Amino acid sequence: MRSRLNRRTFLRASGIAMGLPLLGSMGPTRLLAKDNADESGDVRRMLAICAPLGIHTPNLFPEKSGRDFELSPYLKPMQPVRDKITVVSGIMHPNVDGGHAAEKSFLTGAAHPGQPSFQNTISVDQLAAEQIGYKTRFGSLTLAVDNNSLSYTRSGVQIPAENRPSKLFARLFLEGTPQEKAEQMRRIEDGQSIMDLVQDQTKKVTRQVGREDNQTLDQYFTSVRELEQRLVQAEAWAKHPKPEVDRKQPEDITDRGNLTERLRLMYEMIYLAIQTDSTRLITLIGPGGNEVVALDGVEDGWHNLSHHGRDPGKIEMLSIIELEEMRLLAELLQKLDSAQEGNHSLLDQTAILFGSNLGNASSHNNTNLPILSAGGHFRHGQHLAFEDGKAPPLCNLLVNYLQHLGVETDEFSSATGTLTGLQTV
Amino acid sequence: MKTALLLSSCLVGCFTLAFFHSSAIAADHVEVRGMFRTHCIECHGADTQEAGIRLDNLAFPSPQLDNAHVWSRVVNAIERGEMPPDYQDQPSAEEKKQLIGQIVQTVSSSVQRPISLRRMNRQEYENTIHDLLGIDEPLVDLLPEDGSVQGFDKGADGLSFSSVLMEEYLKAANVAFDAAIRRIKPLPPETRRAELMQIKENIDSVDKKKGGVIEVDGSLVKFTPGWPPARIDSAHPIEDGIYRCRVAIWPHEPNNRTISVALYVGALFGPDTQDFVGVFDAAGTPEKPRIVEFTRRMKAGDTIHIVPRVWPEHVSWRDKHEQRPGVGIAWVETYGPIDQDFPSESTVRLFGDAESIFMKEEWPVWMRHRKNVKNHIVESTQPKEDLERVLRDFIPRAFRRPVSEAEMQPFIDLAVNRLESGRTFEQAVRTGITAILCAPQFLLINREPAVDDYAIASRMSYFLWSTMPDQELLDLAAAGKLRDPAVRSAQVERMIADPKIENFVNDFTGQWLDLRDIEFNTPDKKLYPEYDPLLLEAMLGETRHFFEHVLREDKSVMNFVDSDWTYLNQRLADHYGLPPVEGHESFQRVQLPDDSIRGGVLTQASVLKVTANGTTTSPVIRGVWVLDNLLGRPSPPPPPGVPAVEPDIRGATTIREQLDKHRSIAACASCHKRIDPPGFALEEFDAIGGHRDFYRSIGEGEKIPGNKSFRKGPDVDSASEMPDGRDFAGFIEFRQRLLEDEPVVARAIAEKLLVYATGRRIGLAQREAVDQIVATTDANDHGLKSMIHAVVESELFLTP
Repeated sequence: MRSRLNRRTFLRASGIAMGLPLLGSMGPTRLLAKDNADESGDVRRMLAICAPLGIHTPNLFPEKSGRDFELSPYLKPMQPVRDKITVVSGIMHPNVDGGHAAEKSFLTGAAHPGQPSFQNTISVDQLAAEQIGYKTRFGSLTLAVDNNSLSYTRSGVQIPAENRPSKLFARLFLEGTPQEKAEQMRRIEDGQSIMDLVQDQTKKVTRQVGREDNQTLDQYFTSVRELEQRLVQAEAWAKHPKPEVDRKQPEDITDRGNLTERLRLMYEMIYLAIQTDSTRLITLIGPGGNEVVALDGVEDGWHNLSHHGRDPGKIEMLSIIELEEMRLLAELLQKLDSAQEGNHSLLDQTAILFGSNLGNASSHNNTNLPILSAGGHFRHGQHLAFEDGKAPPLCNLLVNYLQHLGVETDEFSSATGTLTGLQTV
Repeated sequence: MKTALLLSSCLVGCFTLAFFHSSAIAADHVEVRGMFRTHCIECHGADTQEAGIRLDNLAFPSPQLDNAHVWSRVVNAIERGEMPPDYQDQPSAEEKKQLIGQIVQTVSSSVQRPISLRRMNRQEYENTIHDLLGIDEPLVDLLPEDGSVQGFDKGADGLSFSSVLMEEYLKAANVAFDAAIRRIKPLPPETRRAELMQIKENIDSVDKKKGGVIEVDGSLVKFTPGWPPARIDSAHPIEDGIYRCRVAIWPHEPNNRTISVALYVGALFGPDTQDFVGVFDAAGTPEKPRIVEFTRRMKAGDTIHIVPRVWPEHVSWRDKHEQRPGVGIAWVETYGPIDQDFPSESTVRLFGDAESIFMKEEWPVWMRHRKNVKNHIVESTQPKEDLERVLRDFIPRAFRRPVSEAEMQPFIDLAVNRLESGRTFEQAVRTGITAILCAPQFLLINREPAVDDYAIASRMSYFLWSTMPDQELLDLAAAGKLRDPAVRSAQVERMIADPKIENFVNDFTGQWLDLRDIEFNTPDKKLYPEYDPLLLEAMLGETRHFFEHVLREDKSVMNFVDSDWTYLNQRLADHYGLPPVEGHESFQRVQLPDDSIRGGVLTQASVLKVTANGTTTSPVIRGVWVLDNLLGRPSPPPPPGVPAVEPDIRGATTIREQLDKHRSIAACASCHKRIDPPGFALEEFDAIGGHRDFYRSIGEGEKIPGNKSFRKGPDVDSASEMPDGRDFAGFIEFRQRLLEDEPVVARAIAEKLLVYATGRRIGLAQREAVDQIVATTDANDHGLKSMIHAVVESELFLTP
């Protein structure tokens, strides 16, 4: 009992930096990174979006490669930010197959997600969060328009995504009543004591089982310790007021067919999260179920349309939906581009990945993926076309993004380095 | 000996050298080496390594070398007659048996028994907490999805931990704790009734012809599942609780159609999942409608969604000659809350029935229908004593075994510490309970270093009920009786007879047969105009009833391959073109006519739908499915760089033509000669389980009279041959071939059951345990229940 209280006090007194071994080399940090003079002009972020039903690539990929590329039908809405995007064709995650299952590996690169004993690995946002997550109230945000999630922990556990803009808004910007705040504080404090106790229990159980090297028990212990540390951080953040924004809490749009408003609202929340520096790492799994999307000319369920079996009528309807997705993305890019932060626009500070785990949704294959890279400190304005079978792994692009975020590494999952052809500026 | 070993190691390079201390090289096992040299080395030796397999230097597994799966491939190929190829000299049956025995034995003795210690999966977590606290608050969706190992979310590797998961456990424990306390005194039960045509929204819908709804004899008649919903606002509960519900429905203008409804309970609007009550057939007249009754937990403001299911579909442009059929909804009633206890049953269960415990009024709650309502918290006149008592009672129940004073103390200390630092009694109990529900003794299964009676009780319970053991199992454990096989056997019988076996039926079929994914696609409307939600509900019903019957009656697992009976309702009997069965609401066991192609899970629409994508079928996906799920031989992923086969519904080419091309690539052929044949046989069934002679096309092809939706595409060709050379002309003969493989199928199912029951990885090294189960049940044709008995008696089930 005594030692526990001592360690508690120690953790609190030393602040968060001491609690997180990974931050050891980064020196003392303050809670609010914005106060930090070195960083004020150069806050790096990342946003990764996956379209789970694919993007019909013939409408996306320009015919010409290089800087002289023409705007394909899907790129037309991107005209105003043409110089801030790179379209990548011919690329894939090596050994990532299994059709829809490949969604799980979109940001992890883990091999063979469709196999019955598949084990995922850490996603790129979570890897970055281990290093820079402490700087913001939310280390990362894992979002979904419908269901599922792109983010995975080190042990391959899927992080549940928030799919309600109203709740997301409340977490980001609403303070709650004094009674709710007090209750939250109590929960955080008690949570720390509980985790402290559970750590001791896990040690005891490990000794009893007599398997010191057991992976499950090992993970258990580490998870409990990490959560305890996170709660210490949460306690500190809970004492700081949340940022104010010029907007009321939104109401969720329950009509699944209303793609335009649902996606736009989620993008608006993402924009606000970035603008208020509530987080620097966001993943979003986009919409795509079998709803009939409410757009003129669309008469069949989305998922069915994606299995078009080369039927021209279906492809036409599918294109209407996907063009709308591209238009909404372009809206977000433009909005980020017109918001200045120091010497840069928010778009320049945010490396964005938009793509899909399906190269051809109709055959469910996972090669030649539709990939759009936008924003961040890169020399964009090009179509990077890789020849069949000669592309570097898609994880190389994720290494570019990690470096953009200030994570010093040239490795991630299947990566062999950074992406040839994407230069840093 | 050592010199020889060293020499051969040097020859094969330093890779092997690194392991030579701890691993035996196959080439060093005299008999195995001899057989390999005679029959295998020519194609799998130093010079050529077909299929990437090299046998002359293949080492047996060791702690440093995890290659049991390679040996598994070798054994499979020999055993199933695929290797050596038929143009080579064949070993005699006796030689083969000996060789396999030697390999299995060596592999088994060189690897450790895979560990069974694991955490609960999220369904087990929810079930356990429900049983423990006596609540029914949904918890599954609060937790992240679990990973699976060998197809089931029961294995340690798939059930990993992370701080994210820990955080969700913390939240879920708080949600569960809150659900155990009723905060306000319930209103006395009352009946709330909605006459549909006295509700202004319905009157308005009729006036404005929204969704075509009309009024007939005081009822609202609804034709489609869509907007607007039938409003029953005056029947909505105004407080949370358990309600008895009655819904009065009658068929309007059925014209030889059936009129049913699907009922759901939940919020009127919003994305929350609805609680599915069931499908009910409408009957009677507006004056004497059928009254459907059920009891459900409802929240204040919840509605009953009444969704029409008209079958066959009425198409307004086509069926102009007749009145539109619909569901007449006369009235709806709710009566409750029928759980009137305050404190609630679950509060008493948690805090005990003590004089010192009372509900204390706290802050006021504003309610439209009641004045001066106060929220309550649980208080105690002797908080410290009660706190200790509550936790002492709870801990052994939560840990599912007796717990020593010393083990309990830290939990009690923590809670007492909270109390002393100024928390209320309830808050202190909350902290204690939450800590217990986050502790390894609660969350971990099979953590005991030695398997005692309590461990057996838990194992049996998580196997067959997916939840904690009940009192009877725990009492038997306390009396030390569960180590007696006869007692275990009696318990298995009791557990299978218990309604909780539903958990096993749904969970096992959900994963073994992939029924969990059945709603992943909605079939294409043009290609499958006959598909409707009623069919989807019927598909699941058939397979679950079928499985449950095989289980309860201890029928042979070969029924999964072929059976002369199945379970049908009206919708499915029609879909299969079988003699009519009355009603969609319940399923009947039906003897299949001799000339029917149905029988066995491969002919069930549920399985045929989950193995298709809504538009097309793929022999590859179905072939892989059959190999893994019925033949116990999961296929490796395709080699990189192979283009996928692209489906074409324009009627130009068949998938078979594309695959034949594909199979001319040698790298593909070695697996596809096993994968494709079952897939080809199953091409006789379309994406919704209909039997077909030709593919449906929405492009080229002959017109079909009276069908505007699709055309006649290419013919189906379902003939092929098994990898061992036995040929078949179509699905029926293929199924016959599978029946000839009874030992293989029985072994595959035994393996699935072992993975599910023990949470261990089952591979070549566990072969003896698997064979034991098959051998024990030989006498009664591998009855499913007998196999479950054998699993419970298996060494893998009863050891740490």
